[in-house]
Amino acid sequence: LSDDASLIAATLAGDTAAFGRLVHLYQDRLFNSLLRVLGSADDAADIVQDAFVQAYVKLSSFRGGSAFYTWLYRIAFNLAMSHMRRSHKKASLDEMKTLVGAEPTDGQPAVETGLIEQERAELVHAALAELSFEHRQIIVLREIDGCSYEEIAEILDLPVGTVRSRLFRARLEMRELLSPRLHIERIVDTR
Amino acid sequence: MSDRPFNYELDDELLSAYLDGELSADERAAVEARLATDPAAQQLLHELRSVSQSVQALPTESLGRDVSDEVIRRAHESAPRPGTAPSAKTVAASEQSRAGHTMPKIRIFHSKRAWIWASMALAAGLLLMIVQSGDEPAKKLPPLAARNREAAQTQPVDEAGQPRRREISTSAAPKSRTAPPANIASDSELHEKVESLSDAMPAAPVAGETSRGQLSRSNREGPAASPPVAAATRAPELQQEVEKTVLKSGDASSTITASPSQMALDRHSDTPQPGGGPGGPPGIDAKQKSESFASSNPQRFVVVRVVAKPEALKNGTFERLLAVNKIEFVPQPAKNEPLAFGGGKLAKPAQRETYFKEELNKAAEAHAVDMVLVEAPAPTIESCLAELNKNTNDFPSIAVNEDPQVHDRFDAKSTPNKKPAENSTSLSRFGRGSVSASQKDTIDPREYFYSYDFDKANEPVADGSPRAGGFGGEAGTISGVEQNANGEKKRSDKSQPLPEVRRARGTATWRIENRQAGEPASAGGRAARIQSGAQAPNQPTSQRKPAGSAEAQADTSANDLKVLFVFTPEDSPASSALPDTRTK
Repeated sequence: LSDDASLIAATLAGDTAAFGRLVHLYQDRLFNSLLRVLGSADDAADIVQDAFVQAYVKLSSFRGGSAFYTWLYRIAFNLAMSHMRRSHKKASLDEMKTLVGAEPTDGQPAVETGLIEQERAELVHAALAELSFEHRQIIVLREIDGCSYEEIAEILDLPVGTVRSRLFRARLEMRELLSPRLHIERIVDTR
Repeated sequence: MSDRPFNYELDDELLSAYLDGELSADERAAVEARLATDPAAQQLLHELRSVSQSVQALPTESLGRDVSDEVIRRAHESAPRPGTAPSAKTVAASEQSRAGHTMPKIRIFHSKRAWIWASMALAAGLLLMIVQSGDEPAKKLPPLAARNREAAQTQPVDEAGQPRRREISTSAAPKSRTAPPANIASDSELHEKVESLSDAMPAAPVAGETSRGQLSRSNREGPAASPPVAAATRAPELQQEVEKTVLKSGDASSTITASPSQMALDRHSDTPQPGGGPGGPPGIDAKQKSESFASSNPQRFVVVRVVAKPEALKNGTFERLLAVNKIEFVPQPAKNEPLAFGGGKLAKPAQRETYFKEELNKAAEAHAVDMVLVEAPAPTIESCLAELNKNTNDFPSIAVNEDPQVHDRFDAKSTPNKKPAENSTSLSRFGRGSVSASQKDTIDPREYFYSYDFDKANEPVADGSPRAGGFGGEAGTISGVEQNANGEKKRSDKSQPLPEVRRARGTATWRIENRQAGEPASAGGRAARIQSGAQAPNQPTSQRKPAGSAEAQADTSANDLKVLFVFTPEDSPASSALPDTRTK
């Protein structure tokens, strides 16, 4: 955080390279989260850039009371939500498949463990895509970014209690989506 | 586990938070106590953890490139210094540079659906205009509409070589004292829109054409102009205003010339006609003298069906009757000359002689139906009717049908200065016998009333041309039978199958109307009529007085009554003999 604060200060002092370093620090992490939220690598990359540009423009409004990362995510998730509303589409399963590659193999026993893990990742990614956007983004923030409830509350501009209940319901929904696949997985595991 | 009751939800939510380490110490203790005794809670915690771990196990994807340079470039475009608000211009440039992902433009007519809806709305609007203009009068008068369209196309020029011009402005009606409903203005606008629309596609024989023809007539013929306007149920005063306006413009037409192409423009003009006399105020007391408003009197239409003795038709009894009443026949227009506009030229005598002889021969075989269209002041007409009524020998049966089939247009109440109620009864009283006054199926008098324009007809008889409807000795050669139901053969080279009708008019008013008032013969002739003939005793003095007054005010009076006399031989069934003017 101290690094973030100094970089921000340098940027505000006119050192654009400092802001470049901030971008470099967070771009992949933000991209990974937005990829799971938006389901599309292209959309995620666009939103990443937009979020950084907007952060640069608004940087003077950053109070420093919270992490730059949280502030950046708030910008990025707002942009992602606007993008989803404009495009009137939720991340489709097809896009997810395009992203992660091959179709699931319908429980065929996999010879290699790596294939099983890839298959499992595809299943989870597909299940995420079927979540509502609200549930998806809160799951991502919690499970992928490891944000605390407090951070999630700040990013999504929600009360902490709402974060807790929404995250629980998102997990239940995710369990419903994953349980048949997890069962297959268990069969595979028992071999 | 999905069927777990929801009253456990709050506790289950605590399990989720317990998983995340987001509980207070008290909550954590409570959850751990439950987990120690509740296998279901243990199972749910396990599943939640499994779900969480599944998502956490997703591989971390990276952007694969460093976007910092691009971000900084774009950031500099947006704001030269961080934290400074970007100008709208730079923001727009920034948006443009992002391949349209985030801010698509609003493009209203870039979608097919928008165009389809727009065109459908336009089509619906046009259809509405056409449908509304094709109302009842338009349906009633298709043949006439077609006729007048043709007449418009072959509009003749007068002696000055300039096309005759008839100006009419129904929109002038709103200038009257009684403010008419606003819908009349909009209605006429609508009609004119339709007409202009039809003008744009003259070859299309659609319903719009019919309405156009009707409109053409309504804008060219003075007396006929008001029916389409008045057809719609409107206030009687309003009709009156329209009619007055129509007649005024008709009077003005003889002094104003313009090209036909100007007519459309003229119709749009609200300018009152310069030649139009001051019309009477609307709704004026019926007791007031008609002289003041004679120039604005609307014409009334009467059909008189007469069953006549054949010999009476042959020896010109009716012609003499008309002559005594100073009603003269108007020469028939020559072939190829549109009736509606006359043309101001007389038919050549030789042609007429030959024609009449041919017609006489044919008339001997054909049904002997004679039709005479008379335009004259009401007192003169009454005088004629009275004489007809008296002559029971030659005319066994008479039926007077006033304003036939035009009640929808000329409501009797709309002509207050003519005392319509009185006149109606006074004219009907001349009827007798068994002839039906309303043989609407066989004849449409409007065809004649509207088609023959006396004001623009041929020169008067006194100018020396052989007279089609000459009197006295000539009467025998041109009496009723000569022009029968086959009369349309005279105009066979034209596509106007309207059966022929002879026309006659009160000469005094005619001359004056045409700015020939200087001829003393008018007054003299009328005086002679009063003194002459066996019919004189038939005329009540009270009826002569108005005739005299009409003469006195001849400068402004019009032949305000059009009467179509239909003569049928006594032993000829009228219905079969009468031409069916409906069939074009």
